[in-house]
Amino acid sequence: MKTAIQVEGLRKQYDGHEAVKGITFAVEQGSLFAFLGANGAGKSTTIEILCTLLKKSSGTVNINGYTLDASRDNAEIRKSIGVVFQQSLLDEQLTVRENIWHRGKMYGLSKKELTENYQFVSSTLHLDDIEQRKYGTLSGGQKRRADIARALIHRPAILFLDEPTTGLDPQTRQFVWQTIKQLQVETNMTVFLTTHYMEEAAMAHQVVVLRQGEIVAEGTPDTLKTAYAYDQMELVFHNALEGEQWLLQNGIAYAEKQCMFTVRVESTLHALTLLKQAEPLIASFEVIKGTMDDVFIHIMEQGGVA
Amino acid sequence: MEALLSLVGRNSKVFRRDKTSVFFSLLSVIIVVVLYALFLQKMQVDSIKQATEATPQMITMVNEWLIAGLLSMIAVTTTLASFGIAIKDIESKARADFLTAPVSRATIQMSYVLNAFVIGTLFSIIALIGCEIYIVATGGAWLSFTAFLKVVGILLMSVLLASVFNVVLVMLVNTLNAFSTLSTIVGTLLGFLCGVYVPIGALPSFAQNIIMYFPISHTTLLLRNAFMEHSLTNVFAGAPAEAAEQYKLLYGVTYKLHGNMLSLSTSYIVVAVTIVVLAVLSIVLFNRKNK
Repeated sequence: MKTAIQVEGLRKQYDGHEAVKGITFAVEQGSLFAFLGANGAGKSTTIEILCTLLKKSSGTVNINGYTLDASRDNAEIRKSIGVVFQQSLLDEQLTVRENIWHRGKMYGLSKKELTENYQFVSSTLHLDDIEQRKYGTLSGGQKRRADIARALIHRPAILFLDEPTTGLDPQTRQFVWQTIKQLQVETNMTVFLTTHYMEEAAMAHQVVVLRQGEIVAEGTPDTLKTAYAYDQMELVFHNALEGEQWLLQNGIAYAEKQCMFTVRVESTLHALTLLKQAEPLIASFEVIKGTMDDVFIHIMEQGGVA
Repeated sequence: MEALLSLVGRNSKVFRRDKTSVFFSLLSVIIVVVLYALFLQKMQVDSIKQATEATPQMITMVNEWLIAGLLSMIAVTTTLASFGIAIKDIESKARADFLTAPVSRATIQMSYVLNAFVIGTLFSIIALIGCEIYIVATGGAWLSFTAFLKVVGILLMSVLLASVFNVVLVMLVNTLNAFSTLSTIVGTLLGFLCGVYVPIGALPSFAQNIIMYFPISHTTLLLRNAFMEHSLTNVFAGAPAEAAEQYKLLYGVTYKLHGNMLSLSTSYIVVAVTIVVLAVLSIVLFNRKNK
């Protein structure tokens, strides 16, 4: 598969501090790529470099076939990318349509192209009901629809989403993700995502985790979950003392909180074996699958293996 | 080019629709009008009455004197206020959004300068029309066509000077708080530095020198000459020549620097040279800032 973004040995230093320490990764065309890390890990710096907003100290970056900082390539890179920033950046005094139209003209599109592209983003993001309203009067969800439409007005090959759903209600988050997935399927667009919602990262084809400017883990969500997360089972016994004794007798490690015992299980099948053994003692149970939250917390607390 | 024009259009709409910014850009002008209505006009008329006979044209002349000052102030305050968008764009990260599109930093910067010029020109022309209506409504006469063209020409020069003057100032600030402080300082000082709040002749000589070295005050002087040409002749027709000269020096219609009377050509040269110097300085500062 073709590579949309290739980063090799990327470094960025500010006033003696190294924010990004020689990271290397590749993003396949048409994939959803999740770039994770705690605040201050170097995610924003990396994205700003990839979006041509910040000069790199060293390393090579290739985006959609163009080399970052090579003569005239930055302009081509900018034509290839769309960026949805974490904050709402459009002009509050302008209508949604005016905002998107003015931004669209910055890409050198002809009136015909701009009209066609506007129709596309308007129908994709359902802008009909808000396009004549001033951006400043919109709700958070409506603003986000307009932000995404602005990022897509020139039909970019790669879409950068910097925490796109932070602060949105669940319904709007669902709409945003449905739209992004639909665009990926219909246009083979590459999506580069940063997020603090691990269930969103779980939808990615590939995940890279950054800590203190270095990549500390990478892989598919499944491989990361296998490596850094585990399933758990919560047990409530008819008699807590008897239940606890049974766990001790069988050498099963547990954590107890308000008479609920949490034990680690290798898999759902392993949970079944335990349930059969302790069936007479158990009042209720719940098997909880390992999540990307577990992966993230594990890597942040204990480190990972790149 | 299309990107530049689109950005200018966007900047212009954002400024014009922000009623608070528009109001505050005219605040120092409103203060002058209020002060004038309260006592400045009366003070000046009383002063002229001591030198010559009172005529209805005296009020017109004093009004024209004030209007020249107001117009030169409007050029500065409106262009400065329009640069607020540039600072707001940095703070809100809208500039980062622009830079993800294939437009250069220089294009974005140029769009702010052009917008300042457009806004300054628009407000100056509107103010000029309003002032002319006021002059006629209070018994004066319309400017002749040639005088009107001359005033418009000086206004364009004045707005251009204000645009390059303010772009240099604005490049020294990065936050809206700092910009707000800058606007307050400029708005307050401008009335004094253009000799509008207090007649230049009433100030100590060092303050007079500061005003005469302040290039924007030369646009005020040029506008005063363009507006008051006929009324000055008529008002001081029956008075000794010294009375007219004294009035001109006292009220900044003529500058006398280190014992030498400055000609109008000198003022035109001061303004033109300052425009060129500030334009070059703004390019140097811009390049240094974006290294």
